[in-house]
Amino acid sequence: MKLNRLLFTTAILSAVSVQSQTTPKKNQLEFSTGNNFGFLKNLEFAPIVMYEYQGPVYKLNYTRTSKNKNLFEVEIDYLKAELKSDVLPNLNNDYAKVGIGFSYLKKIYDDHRFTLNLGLQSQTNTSIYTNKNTTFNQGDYFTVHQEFGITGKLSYQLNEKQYLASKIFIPIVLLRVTSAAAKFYALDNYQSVLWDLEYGYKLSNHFDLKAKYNFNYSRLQVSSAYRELQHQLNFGINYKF
Amino acid sequence: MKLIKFTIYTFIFTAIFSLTSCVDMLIGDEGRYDEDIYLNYKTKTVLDLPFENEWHINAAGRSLEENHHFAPHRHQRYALDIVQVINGTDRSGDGTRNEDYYCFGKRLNAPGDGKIVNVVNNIEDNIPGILNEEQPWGNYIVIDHLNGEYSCMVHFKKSSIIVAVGDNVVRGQMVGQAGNSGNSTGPHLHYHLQTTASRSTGVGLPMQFQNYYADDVFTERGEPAIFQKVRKN
Repeated sequence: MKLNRLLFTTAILSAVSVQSQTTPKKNQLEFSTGNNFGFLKNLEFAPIVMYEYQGPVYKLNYTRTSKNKNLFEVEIDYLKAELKSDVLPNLNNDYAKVGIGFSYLKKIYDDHRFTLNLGLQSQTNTSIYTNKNTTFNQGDYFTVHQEFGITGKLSYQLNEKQYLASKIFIPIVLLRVTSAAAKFYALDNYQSVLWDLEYGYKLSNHFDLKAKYNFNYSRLQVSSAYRELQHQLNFGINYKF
Repeated sequence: MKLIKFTIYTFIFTAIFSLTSCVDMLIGDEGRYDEDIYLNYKTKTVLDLPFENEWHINAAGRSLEENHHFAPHRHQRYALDIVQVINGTDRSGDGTRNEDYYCFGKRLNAPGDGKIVNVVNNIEDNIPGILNEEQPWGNYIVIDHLNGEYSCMVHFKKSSIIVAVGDNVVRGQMVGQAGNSGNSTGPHLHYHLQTTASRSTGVGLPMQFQNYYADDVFTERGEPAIFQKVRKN
């Protein structure tokens, strides 16, 4: 009886294994890390035209692909750096930012090489400005940006092992909560774009290597102006299952 | 196929090069005014300390380390919190009543010449330790110094303000009494200077007072610093 069960289990696992090597994988889990080159203006926080910051960024991405090649993606990213200003170095501060994005992209076009998906995305970014010497401050200054907008992804298969993919997200509305206030903004006051471009190299049926460039830009046109620009270069590994 | 690949690579490199080379344009010039204020601003109005006798600076300065006002409210970036301290303490008794605090009900003066443009005078004083976050300024006045500077004196005692909108005031003239109204945990004077009468459009300005004593040292013109004892004479 035990032998029969063992043989049956082995047969099933073998079948699953063979199938998994020949059919496209539904799920992808990707971890990447790299460097962030950032520029920030936040007049609510400090009278600085432009802070610069640089530091490591970590990303975890999960993608589920349906039979129809529709995509559901979740991405979490985290960066930590020191905000630096040449003009007023005494106002340097530590800065940490966590982002989480959910997107659903429906397949619009697909041939052997090109795939185009369009959909909607929710993006939440929380930034915390800390200063270990702020003994009199009532707490760290923070901002939470909740964005909703449209997103699109274009993939291009260069050859059997290599591909390029590009994704863009354009927020339409923003809910901004800071230590001072909470308010909704639309495109007339808030313009933002998150664009990434990735190169992938297929190592095996289960693993890809990726190199990615991210361009993130946000501009809020209010009296205490806020603008942020990020260039990120990341390298990661993608596990497909 | 080679042409397509060449086009794609050219587009990618051009796009990335363009985006990385236009940082200044994308971040913009807003805030240059704030930076210049921070570095170079000289107060135009002749300002006197707005109280009698010796008081103690609880919050002042040009950074978050020294001054909790520095962020996130741009209009009160350089604000002062001031209390009266006698023999090293700001109160007698256990501090559960406003009357326990030495500064509660003490005379407050106009720091400079100008015209009253805003007055609120009917907010209840808080019980010490309890904040009124709905009306953060509590009872307050705004003085237009008619030179692009506006003095904001905040947290007055209820019904103690004796000037009205439209009144002209002169430096040293009594305007009301210190209190504990608004977003205040205990009786004190909050004072700051800004560029407009509005909290949403005003930009905070550093304040240089004239002819006062800081820790018993005469200062002809200066900005009070945190923990200093200050008096007019």
